[in-house]
Amino acid sequence: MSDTAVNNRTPVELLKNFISIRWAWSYTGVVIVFLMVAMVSRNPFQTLAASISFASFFVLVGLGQMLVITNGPGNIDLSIPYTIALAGSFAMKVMGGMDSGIFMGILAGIAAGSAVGAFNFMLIRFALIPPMIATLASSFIVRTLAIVFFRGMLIKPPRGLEVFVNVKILQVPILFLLVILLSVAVHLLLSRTAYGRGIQAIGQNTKAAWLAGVKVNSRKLITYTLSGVFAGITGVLLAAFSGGATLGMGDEYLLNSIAVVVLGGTSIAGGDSNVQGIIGASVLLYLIVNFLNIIGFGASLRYIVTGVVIVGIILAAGHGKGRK
Amino acid sequence: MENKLGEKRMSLRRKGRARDVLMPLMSILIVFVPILVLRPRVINYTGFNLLFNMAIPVALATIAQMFAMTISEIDLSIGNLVSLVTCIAGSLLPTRPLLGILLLFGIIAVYMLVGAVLYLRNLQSIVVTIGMSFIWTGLAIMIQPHPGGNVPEFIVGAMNMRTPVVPMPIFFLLILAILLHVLLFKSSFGILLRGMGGNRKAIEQSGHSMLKLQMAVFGMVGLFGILSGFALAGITTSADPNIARNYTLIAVASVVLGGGSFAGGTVSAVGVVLGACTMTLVGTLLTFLRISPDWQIGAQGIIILAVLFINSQLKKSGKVRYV
Repeated sequence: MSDTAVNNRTPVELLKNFISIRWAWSYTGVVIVFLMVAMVSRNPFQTLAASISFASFFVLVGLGQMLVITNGPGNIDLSIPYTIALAGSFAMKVMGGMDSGIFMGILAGIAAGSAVGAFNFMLIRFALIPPMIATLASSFIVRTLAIVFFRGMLIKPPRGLEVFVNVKILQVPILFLLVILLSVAVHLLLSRTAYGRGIQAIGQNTKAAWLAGVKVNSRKLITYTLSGVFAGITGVLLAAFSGGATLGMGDEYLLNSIAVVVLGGTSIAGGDSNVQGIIGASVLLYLIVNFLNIIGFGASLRYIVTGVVIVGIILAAGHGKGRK
Repeated sequence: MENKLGEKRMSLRRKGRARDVLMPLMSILIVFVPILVLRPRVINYTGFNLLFNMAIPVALATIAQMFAMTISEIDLSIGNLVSLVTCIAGSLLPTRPLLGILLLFGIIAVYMLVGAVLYLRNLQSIVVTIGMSFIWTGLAIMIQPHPGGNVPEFIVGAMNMRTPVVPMPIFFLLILAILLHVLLFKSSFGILLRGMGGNRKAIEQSGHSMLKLQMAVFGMVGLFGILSGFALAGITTSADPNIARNYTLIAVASVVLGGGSFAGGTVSAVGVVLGACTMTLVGTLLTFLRISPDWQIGAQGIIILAVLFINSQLKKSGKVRYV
C-alpha cells in the first residue's frame, strides 16, 4: 500500500518531500558547487578530495557540538577551539616527535579533551552556570593553560603520524574514512542506545525526561565529555595534518562547529539531531571556499560568500525554534 | 498565614532587586580595590583616564549584546562588527566619507532586517548571527586588509577629551549608565523590551507588533556596535579587521556579570556597565600584580566563574536535582 502511495506522487510532491528532509539541503549544495567546480577546474576530483580532507575536521568537532546541542536550548560548547589547541599541543609534546610515542600522545590528547569536557559539566551542574558562559569561561582558562605549558610554540608531529593522516585510499583521504566511521558510530549511539535516546528526550523536554527516569545528569556528563573527546581527537589529527600544534589552530572551529551542525539539519533547539547532515555541510563549506579560490576570489569575498550561504540555507531550510 | 506568605514573597523580591546591582558592584570592587592598594599613584586624573579608557568600547559592545540578550536572543557577530567599524572609521571615512556613512546606515538596516527575519521565519539568532559574523569580517578585510588606516581627528579627539574634574571615561560611563537606566526602566520601549524577554506572548497579545519591536531592538544592537567601533578606533587610532574579535564573548560575559540572564527579561543598566569595567580592569590588576599577561584571559575566566558561582549559590532555592 505504501509502495503505491510513493509511486503515485507527483514530481512536485516528491520535491516537497525532498525539501522537508533537512539534511538534503547541504548535499544538494555539495552537488551544485561540485558541478560549478567541474566547470572551472581541470581536475575537480582533486579539489573535492582536498575539500574533504579539511572538512573532516569540521565533521569531527561538529559531532561533539551536535551531541551537546541535542541536549536542548542553551546547551552549547564554546570551549572547543582552545580544547583543540591544548589537546593538540599536549599530544605533540608527549609524542616528542618520536613514532614510538604516537599511541601515548593520542591518549594524552583524548585525556586532555575529556578533562575539559568533564570540567565544563561540573561548572554547569554544580556551579549552576549557564552552559554558554561555563564553556566560555573554561575556554579562557584552557587557553591560558595552553599558553603557559606550551609557550605558543609550534610543536612538530612525529613523521609516522604525519604520513598516516595524509594517506589516500583510492583517492579518498584516510581522515575522511575515519570520520565516516566515527559518524556512523555517533549515529548508532544516538538512535540505538539508551544514552542517545536519553539526550534526545532531554532536548525535547528535560523535566519530562527526568520524570520518565532518564538519568539527566550522567547523560549530560557523558555528552560534554564526548564533545571534549572529539575536540581532543581533532587537535591531535589537525596538529599532525598541518605540521604542528599552534595556539591559534582551533580558532576557526568556534563558529564553524555550530554552523555545520545547524546547516546539517540539527535543530538548535535540541532534541532532534542529524549526523549525515554534518558531513554534507562540512564538505559544502570547504568546497565553496575552494571553488572561490579557483576562480580567484580573495579572502574577503570568501568570508562574505560563506556568510551569505550560511544565512541563505538557514532561511531556505527555515526550521523554527519552537519557542515554549 | 496568607499574609505572612505574601510578606515573605515581597521581601524575597526586594532582596532579588538589591542583588542585581550588588553582585556587579562586588565584582568590580574585588578587582578595583587591589588596583588602588597596589598602585595608589593611579588615583589621579590621568591614572583614572588610562584605567577606564578601554572600558568605553567594551561597555558599548556589552550594551549592544545586552539589547539582544534582554529579549532572549544573542548576537555572535558583535566582535566582528566592531572590528569592521574600526575599518570604516579608519579607512573609509577619511577617503570616501559618503560611502562610509552609507555603509554605517546600511549596517543598521541589515541589523533591523535580521531582527525582522528572525521573527518572520522564527529562526534562532545564534545561527543567523554566526553567518553575519563572516560577512562583517569579509567586508572589514575588503576595506582594510591589514591593520593601519588613519582615524579622523574628530573621533580621536572625542576619545581624548579632557573633561573638568572627572576624567572623560568615568564621566562617559556614568552618563551611559544613567541614560540606559532611563531607557530600560522609565520608557515604554524599555518595558516592552524587558517584557519580550519575560513573556513574549503577553506582550504580543496586548497588541504590540512583535515585528517592529524585534526590528527596533536589533537596530539598537547595530547602533551600539557601531558606537563601540568608533570608540575603539578613537583610542587605538587604527583600523584592524581582527582587533575586536574577542569582544563577542567578552560582551556576553560582561552582560552575565552585570546580572543579565540568557533567559532574557532580567537586566540592570548599572550592572552591565560595571560588568564591562570589571572585565577591562582584570587585565590591569594582573599587570600590577606582576603576573604574566599570559594569565590574563584565564583570570578573566576564573573571575566570571567565581562571581557566577557565588550568585548561583545565593539564588539557589532548594535542592537542584538536574540541570
